[in-house]
Amino acid sequence: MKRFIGFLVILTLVVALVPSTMAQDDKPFAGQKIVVVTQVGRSIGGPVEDFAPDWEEMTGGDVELQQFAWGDLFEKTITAFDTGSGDFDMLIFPAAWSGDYMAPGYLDPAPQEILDKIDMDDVIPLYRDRIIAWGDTVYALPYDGDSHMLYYRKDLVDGGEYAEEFEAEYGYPLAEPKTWTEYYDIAEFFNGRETDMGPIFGVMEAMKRNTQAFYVYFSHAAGYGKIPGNPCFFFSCEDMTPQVNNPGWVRALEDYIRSVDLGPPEQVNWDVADTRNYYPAGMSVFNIDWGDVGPISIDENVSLIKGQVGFAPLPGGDQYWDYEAGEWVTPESGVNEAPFIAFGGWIIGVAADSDVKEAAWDFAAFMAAPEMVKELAVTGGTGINPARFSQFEALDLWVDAGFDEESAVDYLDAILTGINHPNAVLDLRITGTAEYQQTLDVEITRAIAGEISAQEALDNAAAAWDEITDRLGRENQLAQYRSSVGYTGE
Amino acid sequence: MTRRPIWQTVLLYAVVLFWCFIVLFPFYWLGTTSFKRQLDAIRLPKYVPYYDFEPTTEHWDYLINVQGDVTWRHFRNSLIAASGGTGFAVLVGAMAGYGLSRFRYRWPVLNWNNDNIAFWVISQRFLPPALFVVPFLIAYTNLDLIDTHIGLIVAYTMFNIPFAVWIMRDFFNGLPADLEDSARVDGATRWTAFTRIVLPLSAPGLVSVAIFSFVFSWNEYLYALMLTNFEAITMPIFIAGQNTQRGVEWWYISALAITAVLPVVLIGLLLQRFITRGLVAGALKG
Amino acid sequence: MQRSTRETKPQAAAVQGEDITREDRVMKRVFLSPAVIVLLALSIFPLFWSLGISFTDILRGGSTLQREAQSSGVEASGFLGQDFNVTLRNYDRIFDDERLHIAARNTLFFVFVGVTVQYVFGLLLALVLNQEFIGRGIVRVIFLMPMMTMPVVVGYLGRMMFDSYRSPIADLYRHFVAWWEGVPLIGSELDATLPWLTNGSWARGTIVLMDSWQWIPFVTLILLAGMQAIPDDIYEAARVDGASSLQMFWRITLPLLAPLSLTVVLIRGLEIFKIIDVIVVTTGGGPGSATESLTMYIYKTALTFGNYSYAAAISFALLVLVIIFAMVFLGLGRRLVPRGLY
Repeated sequence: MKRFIGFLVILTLVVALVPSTMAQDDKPFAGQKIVVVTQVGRSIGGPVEDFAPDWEEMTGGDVELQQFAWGDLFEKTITAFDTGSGDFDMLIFPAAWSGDYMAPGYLDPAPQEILDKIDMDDVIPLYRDRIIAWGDTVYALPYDGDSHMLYYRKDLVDGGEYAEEFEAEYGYPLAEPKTWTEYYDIAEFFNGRETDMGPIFGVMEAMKRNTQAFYVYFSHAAGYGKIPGNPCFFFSCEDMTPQVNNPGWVRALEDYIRSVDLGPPEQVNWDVADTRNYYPAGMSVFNIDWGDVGPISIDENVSLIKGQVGFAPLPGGDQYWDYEAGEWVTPESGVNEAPFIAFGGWIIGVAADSDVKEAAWDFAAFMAAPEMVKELAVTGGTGINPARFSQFEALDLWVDAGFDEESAVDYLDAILTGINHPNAVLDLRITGTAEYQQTLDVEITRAIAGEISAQEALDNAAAAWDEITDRLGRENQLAQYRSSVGYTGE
Repeated sequence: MTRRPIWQTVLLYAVVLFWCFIVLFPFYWLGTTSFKRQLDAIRLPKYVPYYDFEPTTEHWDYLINVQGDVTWRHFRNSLIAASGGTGFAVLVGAMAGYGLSRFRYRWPVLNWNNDNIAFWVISQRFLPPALFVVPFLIAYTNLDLIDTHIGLIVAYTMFNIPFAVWIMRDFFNGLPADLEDSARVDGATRWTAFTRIVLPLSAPGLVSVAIFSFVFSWNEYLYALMLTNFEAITMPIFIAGQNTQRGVEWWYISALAITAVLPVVLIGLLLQRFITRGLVAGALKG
Repeated sequence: MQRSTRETKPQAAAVQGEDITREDRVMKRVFLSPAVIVLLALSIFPLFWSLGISFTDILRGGSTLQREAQSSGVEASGFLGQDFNVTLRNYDRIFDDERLHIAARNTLFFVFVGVTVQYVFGLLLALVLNQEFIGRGIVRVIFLMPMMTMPVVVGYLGRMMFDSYRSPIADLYRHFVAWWEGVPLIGSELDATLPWLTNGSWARGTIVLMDSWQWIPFVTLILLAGMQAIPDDIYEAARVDGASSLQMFWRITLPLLAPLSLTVVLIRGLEIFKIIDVIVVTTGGGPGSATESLTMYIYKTALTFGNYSYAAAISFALLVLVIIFAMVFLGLGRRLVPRGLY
């Protein structure tokens, strides 16, 4: 009898508790509305649009997506943060703006239980330890992995048709370029050549001012300006001296200027994103872009070159400028590989002044879940590129998405080599990053337009950088830069 | 009138046709592009649907069905901001125009008369809006007006008033005062005379001011860019921002541009005579 | 713009006799005040405020003074105990900010070239249209279309039309090149593409073209109205005296249109000073810095860089340019236009 009573008690307890806990678990965020901010368009924001209903179903929350033009996103969000006029809860933003978002405390530090949910060990260490963190605190969840890579037409470059002619002309075999010098040799060789799809251009590099095109220049500069073993690239870590006008950077800009005549004339008005429409239409041999072109190139609706694209890490410098020693150094391997982690990817943060942080973090974790991003990365047009080991390992998914196996291996390998490289260059991410980048942007586009020489342009940029640093407080900026690259010297 | 020589006639029609072609062709291009597939739009130009390329309605489908909410939100914002700004500007402008036309003012200290005041008012129209970027930004953030419809309406009212005053003053100058005077002899106050007699008589002037204010506000870019964030973004900002991660998607933008331009152009076509009249009044007397 | 001021007087005088009623004394203020208050509050006040800001070191998220205090930890107090300093550094920088000078040069280019192109073509079109022809109503309507179009859309249209590779214009040019190279004797090799928007000087011109496409009809319509207001008997008299059409144009039409022409040119000029939207969607200020306008630079400085005080300072530089332009034109007007007409 006692036992029966005990059983009854337990039963009533269970019966009484289950519905209530069930109900809670079922719709923990019922009636809460979270506002998600990101850029306009299907990429990055698109997945939120598509999958928010699932989450809403699960949790009872309500997601509202607000999208901005890329060119306005920074201005709008930072003004809103600064003035407290923003009413958004979750942001999907470029990691490069961490200095402006995380440093002043606009973002909420990520709770440990959320990080546990998304399997942080699976994330590429560079992202886990640097990109989503400010100092030692993690402020964001990894969503998208980003680094520049090189696309080339392997039917032209790897195929045998032109090999002989090329070798006769340049004295070495035609293959995937390892250095910028080789890159330009090949571009020059093919530029204007008649192929079965009409005349083809050598390169296609975004050059439009006031867009993301300056990242392409950074990619050029990394090979010539990054010193192996020294994390400081944009500034010296001793006193915040801008490095933009050192000979390595100048040489990179001279290269970039060369590209003007080796690509479609209209490229000076193209953003990186514009090249994503034209490259798959078979206009050029090379393209420098984030990982996006991979999935786009296999979509037959928009691509004429499916299966003909080769993927490679960015070329390196055949020498690099050591600013500490003040001299050119030729690395033993013959190549200074320094992949540029341009932009650092889109990451997900939660506003510190949000009223519905818990719901926002839950949705963030939902979007950043390993299974979710794995799916998104293989889908063309989502803008999501891999940042987790599991994404690189899931070869079958890439093949299902339409890659042939060789291409998939090639593609994943190119990206992984980039972001996992010991000499990889992190994007600038300190307070004022946007202004540093844009002042430089103006100067390099002027050099491209032939208004001033490369040296002059970069000297101007360096002067402007010094002015910004002084205005924002030199000590402050130096401390930030050191911690952003993980400088521990002295 | 003497008959003109044949070559003049030919020249006349040639010039007219040529110019009409220059004006209309871009619109034709906009229309066809919105029905092109991506690969048709980014390689060599394709001119004639069904002959050159197979049209597709997928972009319109995306605009109206998939992105319908978003499109409508921006469209509505534009509608609210532009009509709000227009309404206030017409009201305030008509009042001030009437005042300047019927009374004699003399501002102390500056020693300004009606003409000076009118000139001062219209000169505000030509101040570069860039001057107001910083103060508006700071003031609006402190007043919590950033990203609200009210904020835009206030800015557009300010922006449209000078022109409204200018045109309405001119209009009232051409309107004999006899009617109001006799009404006032019969005991009507100034205000009732203004609302009951003057305003109805000046409907054509009001319409042309309204059209102008509406079109200016609808197409306005800089104020909208700096004063809106998410909620209140208007069509021009939305369209200018269509440089997405997939680049400039000409096909989709074309559809969007048509949506944005069509209402205003239709207004323009239907109420054409008011516009010409307003333009001429504004400039001839200016 | 000032001419009208004189015309209104008789009317105004007729209405307000000496016996102005008490009601009117109140009402005249009621009628004018709303407009004046709005303009004072939203135009004049911000103007002076902006002038004030331009002499400080205010930035987004705190002045330089505050930032220094933050990093040094020492409480600092600036101008009159406020948290900012008064400084001339913004005006100092105006003189050696190359980007600003280039933007100013570009803006002046847009204004002067734009005004010239629009006036010349507007006038020619008006001359042609100032005749009877079939379909006049329709043509007038078509003329209004570009003016009604959003400048942002005009920019996109321009980019589609002037693309150096996939635009109809490029296509036309390709055919022209192919034909030209086949022409005996004078035919020669030409560049395969024209750098409409990809070469600095070309791009500046192309921007002017786009703006002109939109606004030539405006100039035309106004000049047309002006021409139609010229009484026919003046022409008749001239014809009796044996004047040729060309003479009549130079001696009658052009002088009688002068005041109107100045107004139109002034209006267009002042409007072009504000140009930003067309440029933003076409070149974004590039290639290089060839097409960045002052308004664009001010917007960037204020919103992207958050340098409020400097943005305020350069907006006054813009104002100075605008005022000089207007003064020159008004002065020119006084000199060129015959006394009786002005």
